[in-house]
Amino acid sequence: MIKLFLTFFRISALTIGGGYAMIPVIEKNLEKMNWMQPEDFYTLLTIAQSLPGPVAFNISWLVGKKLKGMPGAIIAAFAVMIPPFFTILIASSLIMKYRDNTYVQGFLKGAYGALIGMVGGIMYKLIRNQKWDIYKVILISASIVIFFLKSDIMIPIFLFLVISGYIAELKRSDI
Amino acid sequence: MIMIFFKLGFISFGGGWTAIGILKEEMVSNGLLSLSQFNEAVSIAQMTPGPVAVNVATYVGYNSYGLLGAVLNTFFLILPPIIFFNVALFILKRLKINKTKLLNALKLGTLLLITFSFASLVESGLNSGNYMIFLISLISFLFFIFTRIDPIMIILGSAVIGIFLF
Repeated sequence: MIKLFLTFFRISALTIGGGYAMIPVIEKNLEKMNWMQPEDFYTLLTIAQSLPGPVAFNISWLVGKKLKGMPGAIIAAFAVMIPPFFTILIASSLIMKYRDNTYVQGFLKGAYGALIGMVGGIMYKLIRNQKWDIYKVILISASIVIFFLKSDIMIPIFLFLVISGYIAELKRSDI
Repeated sequence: MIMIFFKLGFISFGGGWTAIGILKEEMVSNGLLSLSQFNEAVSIAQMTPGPVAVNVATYVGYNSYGLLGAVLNTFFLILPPIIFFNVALFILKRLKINKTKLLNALKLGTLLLITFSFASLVESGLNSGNYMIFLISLISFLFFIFTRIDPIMIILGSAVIGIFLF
């Protein structure tokens, strides 16, 4: 149990760049420790991605649960949350102190520029990897238009899109 | 503010970067953060370890309400998945939902959210009046798509260039 905590704690503390950066690291560690085979891990990963919430949190919860039941789930998820939490506390007190410094401003602006590029990159990958058909094109275009006009009803639009997208997926295999 | 993060927890499929646009809309329109404070928050969140959404939640909470804000925001962000784990696993098991197909459908939903995030980030960039940001964005985008360089290196590199540029 302590090993479980330490493993997830270390992965979380040392991996920068969001939940997706952590996934291959978690997988490698589990394999190395002989805790879980890659196939089992990928099954859990699919579930983690189908659930709402941060992927890194979901996957550590599921892995912990599979290994040690409910206590394992809580321990692993807690271990993942602790390092970012304290890093952020330290980072934000530093930033608050030096926010008017020109260099700090430049540093943050550069990072912000990169952020737009990254989000654009993920968007591009999502478009490229989707199996497109005419239904999906219509669905997504309509949703985007409605979304920009009325962003306060985002959850219903999102759910509608996912459900109708799922139906479109089912139809596709029928043909 | 807690409710915003609770809501965010429900719809943040496919990683935290997806939900950034919605988060910005909610925070800025409710007057909880100014635009520049928000940009600051996401810039820091992506450079520190851990999931981006969690980092933003902690940062924003700490900045506005101190330690208690940080704890509450983070807790409420992860509450929806905790609630969902049991319900969703139950549904996934009982109804014979094809997981691969569901994941494809979710990716379609994620595309919607991330398009919104992207537009929202670009809008803030335009409002800041500093168009050099977009040059950095374009270069990072190309690096992200065409090379295997670790994204964090791209971000850190851009940040360092930012020191000299701005």
